[in-house]
Amino acid sequence: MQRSLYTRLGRPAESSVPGTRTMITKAKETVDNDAEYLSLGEPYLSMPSAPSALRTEITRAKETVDNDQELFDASHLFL
Amino acid sequence: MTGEWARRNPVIVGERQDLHVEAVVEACRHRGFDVSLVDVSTLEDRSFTYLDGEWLIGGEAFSEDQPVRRGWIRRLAPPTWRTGTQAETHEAVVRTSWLALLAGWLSSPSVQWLTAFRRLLAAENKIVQLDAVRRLGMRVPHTVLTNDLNELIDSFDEVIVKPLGPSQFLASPEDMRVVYATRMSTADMASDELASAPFLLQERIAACRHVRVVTVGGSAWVAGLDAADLPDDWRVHVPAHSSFVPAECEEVVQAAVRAATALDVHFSSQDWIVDTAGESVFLDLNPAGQWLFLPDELAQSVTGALADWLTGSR
Repeated sequence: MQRSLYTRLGRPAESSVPGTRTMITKAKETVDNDAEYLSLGEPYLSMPSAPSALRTEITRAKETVDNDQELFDASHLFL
Repeated sequence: MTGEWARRNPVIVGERQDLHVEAVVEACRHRGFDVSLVDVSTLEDRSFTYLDGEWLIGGEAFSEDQPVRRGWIRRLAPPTWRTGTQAETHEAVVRTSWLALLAGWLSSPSVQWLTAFRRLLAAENKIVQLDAVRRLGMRVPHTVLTNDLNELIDSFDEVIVKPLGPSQFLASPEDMRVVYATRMSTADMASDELASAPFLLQERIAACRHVRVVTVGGSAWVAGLDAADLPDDWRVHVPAHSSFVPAECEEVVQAAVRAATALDVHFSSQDWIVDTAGESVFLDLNPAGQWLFLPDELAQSVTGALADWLTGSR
């Protein structure tokens, strides 16, 4: 890859743009009664909302609570 | 809702999974209007016909002869739509063809867009923004774009470096990178770095407060964030995303509305700072930016204002 200020300053997208947190919070709220998701969802709120980490977490959540469409609609952007 | 009113239901360019779209759709529904959602990916999935200036998309007619509908352009495509396409390949020309189709429809007079498509594209450019705001007599950071390192060193010892292009890129298929506004010593820069991709190089202004302003037409809502102990780019610090508080700042309200008016954008999400002397400084403007991370009352006001305009209530 050609060297540029992009390559020098680019950092793993660990701190998301604003809105990620809103989305995750909303996803949590929409499935607030789902105890299974709550245990999975807490890490979303405490971790720096990293797309790569989220991808892993949300994929895991998806496998576990596959019927909750709202959660996955809300998290769609990260998959 | 039937007949003529049904044809006046608003249009949003975006996808339902986008919470900003969802919020505005819900607000329109509360006002008695359904919303048609269209973006380039839905165009692919629906029937469409263009015939001599008239459009039929998913069974909905868009024509100059019908009552004008109002619309808001949020996102042309979902973030994952046809990503990773290599230039000049078949996939690339297919992708471009779909975008050209969408652009043609967005440019037709059958929908009155909150911000016209061509204005939205022009206003995305940070040089255009800075020039427009500077011409209004408002303060913007001293800004250099150059591929000449000596020229830069002559002007600055230290700069805030910001992408002129997109802030995110794939370094490899699984490695998304983001570039934030970053403070750098000009002595630490290399000529080839500066020459290979143009970046905004700006004076660093010591911030007392970060300010996010959202404008809808002639109205604006302001939220502030104490800059103490924050990095130059507050987005790096995740807790800052939820730490904005509503702010009263008539000077910034008026300035932000003037900036949006100068750029002919009727929605904008703007970043300003208030420096240690209390002066407001324009940083940049996003004509399709976010607001839902701001305090609830403020966010709901913005959502409501958009829905009011789309449904003709204002």
